[in-house]
Amino acid sequence: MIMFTKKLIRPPSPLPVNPIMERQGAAMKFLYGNGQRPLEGYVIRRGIGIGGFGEVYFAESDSGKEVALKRIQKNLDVEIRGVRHCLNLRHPNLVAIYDIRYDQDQQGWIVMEFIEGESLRDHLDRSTDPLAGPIHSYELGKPERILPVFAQIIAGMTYLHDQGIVHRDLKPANIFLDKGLAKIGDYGLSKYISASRRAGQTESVGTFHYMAPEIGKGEYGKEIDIYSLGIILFEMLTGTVPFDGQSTQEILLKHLTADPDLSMLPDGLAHVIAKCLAKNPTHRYRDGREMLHDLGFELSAAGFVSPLVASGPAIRPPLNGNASAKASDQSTQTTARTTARTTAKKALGIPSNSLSTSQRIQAFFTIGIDGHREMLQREPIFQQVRGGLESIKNWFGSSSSKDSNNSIAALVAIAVILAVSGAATVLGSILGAYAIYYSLWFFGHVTAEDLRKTSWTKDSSPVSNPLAMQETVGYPTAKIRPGTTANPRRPSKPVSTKEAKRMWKAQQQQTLAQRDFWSSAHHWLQSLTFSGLIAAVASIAGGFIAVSNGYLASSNGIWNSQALGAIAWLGLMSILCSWTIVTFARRWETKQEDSIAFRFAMMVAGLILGAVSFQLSEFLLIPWSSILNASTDFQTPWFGKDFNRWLKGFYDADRLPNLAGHMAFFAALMWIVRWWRQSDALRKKKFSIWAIVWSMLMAGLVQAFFYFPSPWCLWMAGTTSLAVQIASPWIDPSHPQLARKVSEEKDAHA
Amino acid sequence: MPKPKILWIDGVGSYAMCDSDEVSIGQAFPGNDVDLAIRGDLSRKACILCRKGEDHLVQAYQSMTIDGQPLQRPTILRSGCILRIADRIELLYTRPTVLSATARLELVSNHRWQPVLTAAILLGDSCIIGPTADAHVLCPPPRGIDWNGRFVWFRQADGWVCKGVACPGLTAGDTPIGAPFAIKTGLRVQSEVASWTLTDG
Repeated sequence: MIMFTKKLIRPPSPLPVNPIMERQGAAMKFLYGNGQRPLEGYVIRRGIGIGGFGEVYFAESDSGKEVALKRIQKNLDVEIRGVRHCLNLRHPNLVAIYDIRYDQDQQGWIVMEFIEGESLRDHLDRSTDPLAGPIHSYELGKPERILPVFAQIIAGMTYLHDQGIVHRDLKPANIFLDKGLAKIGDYGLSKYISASRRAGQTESVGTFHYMAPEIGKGEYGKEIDIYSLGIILFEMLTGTVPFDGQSTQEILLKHLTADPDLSMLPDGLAHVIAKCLAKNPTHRYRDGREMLHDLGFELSAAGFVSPLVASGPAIRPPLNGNASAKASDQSTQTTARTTARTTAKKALGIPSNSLSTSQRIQAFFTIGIDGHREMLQREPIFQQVRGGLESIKNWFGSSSSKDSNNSIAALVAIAVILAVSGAATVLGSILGAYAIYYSLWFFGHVTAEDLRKTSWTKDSSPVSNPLAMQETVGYPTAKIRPGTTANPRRPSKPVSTKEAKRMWKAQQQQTLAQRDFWSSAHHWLQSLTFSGLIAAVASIAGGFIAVSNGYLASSNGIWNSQALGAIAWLGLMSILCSWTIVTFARRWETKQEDSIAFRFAMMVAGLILGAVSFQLSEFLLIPWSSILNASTDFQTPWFGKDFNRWLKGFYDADRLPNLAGHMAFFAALMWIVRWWRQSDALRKKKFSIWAIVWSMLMAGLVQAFFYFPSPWCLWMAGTTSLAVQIASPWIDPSHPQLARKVSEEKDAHA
Repeated sequence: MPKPKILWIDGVGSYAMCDSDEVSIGQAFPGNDVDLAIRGDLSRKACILCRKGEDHLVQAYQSMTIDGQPLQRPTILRSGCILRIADRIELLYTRPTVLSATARLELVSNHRWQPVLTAAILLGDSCIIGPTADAHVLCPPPRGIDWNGRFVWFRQADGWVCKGVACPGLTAGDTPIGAPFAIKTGLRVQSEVASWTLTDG
């Protein structure tokens, strides 16, 4: 703690001394445990954390007050002196200090406000961590959510400055988030400064990543806090600090000489950060109020932060003003709000809300699926239909799962049934009419705000949510960790897209490999369940079509036991094939592809499937010869039984496949198609019609060599492909940030 | 009915471990005998959560919605649903793993539990405390330490038993522990990666 006019108490030393680990998460060994009373009047409940200053505990007073107790272990006198100076500061954005107490051993304790939330450091780490919990007070990289939080930090800092106090160690680890409130802590303690952003301490002033360059010259004005805030804002927006390096010297050198790369930030925010990070302290903001104003906020007289309402004091109404004065005042306020909004939007780099016709048309094609999904949330007809469907779903009580696979399966089934029943034409007409209506509605309702949202989540700027590429729900996805790259410079030589995808894939595989057994088993069982379900539905639908269209010679459009037996065979074999593929794919998704070995394994599995198929045919007494339709079976000179005459051992007297024929067909089918790719979580597309067509074509090709009754074998291949693709998890590789992020990684590693 | 016990984990948080078949939720004020008390504007007994086999049912005693749908009758909760009580208090119900009936209940609105809690755990037959996403009690290790272990609680006829999986230096009340041990209130469990104590609520 230091007054504006004072100089450094201790000489700065950039070298780490006695590093003690700050921690997020579970603690190792706290001196005191639950129920102990080292300090009269307080009972310890649990440890909160350990830092260079000592241990912090959550405790309750005898009257039930929840407090944090900080046990000062080092430099007791210096610390106590600094804290005592701040004992009576009161501000909603400062962690309150209640008291300083001594235990029986004359050990000093600081009694302070207990913050239920987490530090900004933990929050930033958690936001880029695969274990991120479900509750986020805001999301990394979204200015509209970050700035209200950041403005509170400025408010707390400004209050300190108004009291003649410079924090000197503003960093994410000293800022706490508590149910939407941001509070600055540790403002009363002299600092043991870390060489890294997270751990280790030295007896210098300021953490190196957040340390203003003039600190090296012994200058400690409030500008050093402004500088730290600039770094913090940059990190909150991008997930990384502007100046990082492999060594302390490198970081310090960058603070002294390098210019931050702000090219990826919106103009307004880039301007604010650039001004905060000016090398010359006199070129920075003079105080927090200036900075707040440029961000579209203001401080009340009481020190509370609020969105900027007026640019001047003239709008305040007289207490006894007449109606016209009020109207005039309302008008002034409206203008002021508009001005404030414009100021805030300018800071955020938001374009004006009005769009030209060409911009609206362009927006229709550029906002992407996510953008249209957002728009549909506002479209009244869609909402009505969705509400109706929700009601039906609730009526059936089938809201047990939100997994989109259920919806997809249901849609596929409905589409097939509609297609068969002839309702597809009507449905198509309705959908076409709705598409036209939606287009017109879109052109009338799209706003610049929608475009801005889209650009923040879609474009390649790091200001857009850096986590967007990780939003594959329900499946672990590798993260670009800011702590590891920590260098926002754009690479001079971007890697090729192919190389970027290869690196991304390797990264994802590594992450998938780190899953524990239960997580892997969960995804495997989920895939099995859905693939089985989809295969069953698709088989029944396929069989229905076959029967209805007279593909079965004997049934002639009528359901009979023969048709049912064949459909049962189709369904069961599709399910078994899907399960086999899904099982192998889950096993192989973390391994480098070895096509020969994988094909061999699949071929062996195909032999087993063929044996099962034959036994199933025997069990179900499927009379293949009587359920074939000569017009649809491939009995041509090329694709016919005659062609396979030399393979007599594979067929019975009726020239239908025997056990060997079944095994040969399935083994060849499993061998020829790289089925595992259709189930790979890292495949190019979630669902590909071409994959289904290809699978069926390959089944036809196999049939040319090892004759098998069609269309059953083709249906089975298609159904299997459909089920496997829909049921398998998928991590979207197509995010536009991919290439740049990965190249940054590569650059950082280099 | 005994009050839920409180699990205090150093550096992580505090959790109400609800072991009974019915858990009542209501307003926090002196003398109100509910299992989970919330400091907010809700009824003294707003709802109860009942364990039915592998599921949890919610029975409302005041206006309440689940994912925006008004609650008309006892309803089975599904993982990820938001319970909204009295139009302002929001609770997130999650089942971190399908392999266990244990669920987690977290306040997502600007309210607090009384006493201060990170979440309430509706215990099934097992409970996982660990750093992975399938843990009911998420317990990340200290910075710089890579920990993939876990504490697994099992329900047995005579109470709960804990097994530490890959927990180096595990002690229970200063006694080194290698095998599963009975969980008792007041027993301090420590390891190099996590330390916790279970107390009466």
